[in-house]
Order: sequence, then C-alpha cells, then structure tokens
Amino acid sequence: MTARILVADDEDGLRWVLEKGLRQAGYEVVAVKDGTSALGAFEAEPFDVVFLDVRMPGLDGLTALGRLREIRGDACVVVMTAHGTMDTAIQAMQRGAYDYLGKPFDLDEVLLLTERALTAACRRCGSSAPSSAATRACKTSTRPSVA
Amino acid sequence: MNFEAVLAGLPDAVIAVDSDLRIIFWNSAAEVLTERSARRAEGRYIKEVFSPDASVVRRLGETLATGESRSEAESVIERADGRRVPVSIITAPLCGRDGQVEAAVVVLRDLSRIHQLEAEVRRGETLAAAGRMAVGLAHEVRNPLGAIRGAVQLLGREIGPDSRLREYTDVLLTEVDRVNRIIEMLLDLARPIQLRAVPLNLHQLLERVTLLNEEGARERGVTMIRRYDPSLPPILGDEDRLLQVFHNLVRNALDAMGRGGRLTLSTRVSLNPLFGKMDLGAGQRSMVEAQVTDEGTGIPAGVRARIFDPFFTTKDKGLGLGLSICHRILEEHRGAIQVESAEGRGTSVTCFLPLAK
Repeated sequence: MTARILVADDEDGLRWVLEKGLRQAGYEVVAVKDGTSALGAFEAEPFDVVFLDVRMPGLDGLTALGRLREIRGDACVVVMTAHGTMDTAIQAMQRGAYDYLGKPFDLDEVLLLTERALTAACRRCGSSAPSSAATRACKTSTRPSVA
Repeated sequence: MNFEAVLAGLPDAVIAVDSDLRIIFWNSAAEVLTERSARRAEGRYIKEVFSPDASVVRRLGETLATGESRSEAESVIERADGRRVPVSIITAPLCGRDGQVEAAVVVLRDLSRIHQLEAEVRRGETLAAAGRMAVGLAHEVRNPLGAIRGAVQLLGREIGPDSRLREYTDVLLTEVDRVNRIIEMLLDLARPIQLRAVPLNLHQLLERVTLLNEEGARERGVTMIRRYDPSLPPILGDEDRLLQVFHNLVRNALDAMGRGGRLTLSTRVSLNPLFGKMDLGAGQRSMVEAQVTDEGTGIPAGVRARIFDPFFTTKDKGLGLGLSICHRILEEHRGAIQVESAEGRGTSVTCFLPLAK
C-alpha cells in the first residue's frame, strides 16, 4: 500500500512543490490550504505523515497540531515554519511534533524526513519498517476514531 | 578657597575678556577644550586665538556692547590644529561697582561626548528597528523562496543530471541559498545573542585573528604590527563572538589597504572619559581598549555617520552587515565601538570591552 501524506500550507507555491515532490517520490498526497481543512481531512481519511505550516489563516499550525494529536495520539506531524526561530521548533516538539522543518527547505531533506517519519511510525505500531519510501508496511493510517 | 580656584576646577571651559576683548582668564578646562595653554592665551585678544568671526568672539562682543547675556545651544570652536569641537556657549557681563560693563565671561561646554552618546543610542535604535523589520521580512521572503527552491529542484529532476540546462538550475539554487543566507544574517541582528562570557586573554584572541588574516595581509603587502600592553588583565567576553568582531575589523582594514601599509593592533586599559568605565549591573567596571588601525583610504566624511547602518557598504563586494553585527556584539558585552577616520590617511576602530574583574 502507498503511504499517504497530508500537506497543509497556505502558500500556493510551497503547497504545489511539496505535493509534486512527494507524489514524484511515489507517495499519495492530499494538500490543503489551512488548518481547519487539515483537521477535516485528517478526521475523514487516514494519513501516515502530516506536514503542517505554523502560520496559516484561521487555525494556526501549532493549534492544529494539538487537535491532530487529540484525534490520534500517535499522529506523525512535521511542522514547517519560515520564522527561523528555535522558539517555534521547541513549542512544536513540546506539543508532540515528530520533527521541524525550516523554510526554505531542500526537497531531498523533505523526502528523507518523510522516510524517517514513516519508519518511526512503523516502529511505534510494532511492524517492520517500510521496504521503500512510498510503501506503507504497517497500518498506521487506519481510519481514526473520531473523538 | 578663592573664586579663581573654583573657576579653575570647573569641568566647563571658562574664559573672561576685558572691555577690549583681551583675555584675562582662561581655566584649565579651556586649555583642554581648545588645546591652548592659559599662558599662551591670557593677554592676547580673543580674535587672535579664535577666528574673528567665530561665534564665541561675536557673542562676547555683543555682551560687552549691550550688557546682556547671550547663549547658543549648538555651536563650534576651532582648535589650533583646525579640528572643530561642538560646544554650547553662554556669555555674561561682569560689571563694576558703578554698574558699567567692565568685562565679559563665556562658559563653553564640550558637546562631543554628548554627541557620541547620542550617536551610540541612535545606532542601537536603528539596528533594533532593522532587526524587527528582518523578522517580518524573513517570513514573507522565505515562503516564496521555499517555493522557488523546491520548483527548481523539481525542474532539475525533470531535465536530468546530464542536461546542459542543469547549469541554469544550479545557478538558481545557489542564488536562492544566497538570499536565504542574507536573511539569516539580518535575523542575527534581531536575535538576542546568547553570550558565553568567560575571562579571556585578549592578546591570544587577537593572535588567532592575525593568523587567520596572515595570507590576506601578505597578498596586499600589509605589515601587521602589535602594540599590546603586556600587563593587560583578562577581559570578560565570548570568545567566538569576539573573534567574529576582530576578524571583521581586520578584514575591513585589509580591504582598505589595497596598496599595502601598516595595520596596527593595540591594547590598553582604557582612560577614555566616556567609555573607560561601564556599569555592568554590579557596579562600575574598568574597560579595555582594543584598537585596529589601518593606513588605508579612510572613510569619506559624508558617509561616516552611516557605517553602522545595515546594508551600508563602501566596498564593491560585501553586504554591509559587518559593522552592524560588530556593534551588536559589543553592545551585548556592555561595551562600545568607536570609529575615527581621516580620508586618505586611514581609519582607527576602537572596541571597549570589560575587564574580567
């Protein structure tokens, strides 16, 4: 099964790049432009990794991160920010983010991070690591129970 | 104590003239301010000491003629060597028993220290404002930059590693990264610097800087001269940050000396009346001066006030952030930085840093 990635960023260009880059690497990608849509998508469908921008209109990334973790305690979320301050990164990690990505990022770094996140997610659910980047070897993305 | 002793001890320059504008009193602060001794000034006409159209001469003349006091909040006097010093002027008549004006006195207050302090505060404010702007700018620029970088990488993959178009995507990536580095440097101005201040041997630190710049000096035919005070006690500072400061200053000095010359590094315990002692929170602390002096082109007078502005540079290449960052680092050390320059003769940058004890 193909691993599923959710991307939430209000920047059209960045969203396009992430969607395209991750799709080319073989992942199934859903891209949304705000935190509320990200929550809606996450509740409706299973995702293995979520890329979440910190500053978005309406529901910001850090709040959305908290809600995602409430919906599914083991949600694997990577937080993205253009601020470049460690404060945001620390806050995100304290709220349970898997990792932190500063903009502008390197696409190879994004793909590497996705693989690592998938491996970590597999380890958490007790199955073996995925055999390839785009292959989901565990069932982390089973439909979540809605609180 | 007689009045003459009181006047002699005042920190402001006091000069008295008789009704013919001949100097009858010249206190020691006047000697320091004008760099002319009382012995050489007293007995001479004031217009022989200052130029006849100088404010101080004019104001004393008016006071003698009218019996009224005159004042100027901002004026200048010229020293013997032609250097101009900003001063404030207040004159007053001296009357005899019959009420007639017999003489006049002028009090000159040296404003250069106040101007230096004001400039220091202004510099700090400018840099803080630039830093705040950088934080806002960083977010707005990094988002599109991220999209450009990602799109170029995707394009690179489409055209493959062997395509002749690869050169174009490589240039784009390099330049995007350069823009990001510029933003990083600007953000450095805004971020609070976490100093790891420890007692440091300033001379060892300066030697590391000279080692780093030895090759550059050789290439330009520059001789490095050390004038270190061998008894200098340790300073309190962050080694990496201070290396950054002095490396920057030495590189600037070398860049200013395209045709060779001498670059002098000197140290001493400061006797500077303005920055010689600083309050570090637990009382006054003595300061050390570390000076980088070059014999380069000097900084044109017209741009001297802007050299600490972010992105201001006189070089063909360079971002113009070096001195802004130096200023910021010294400020975090509770120190200060001063620049003196003479066009065609060279520049001297003095850093004031606190002693460890």
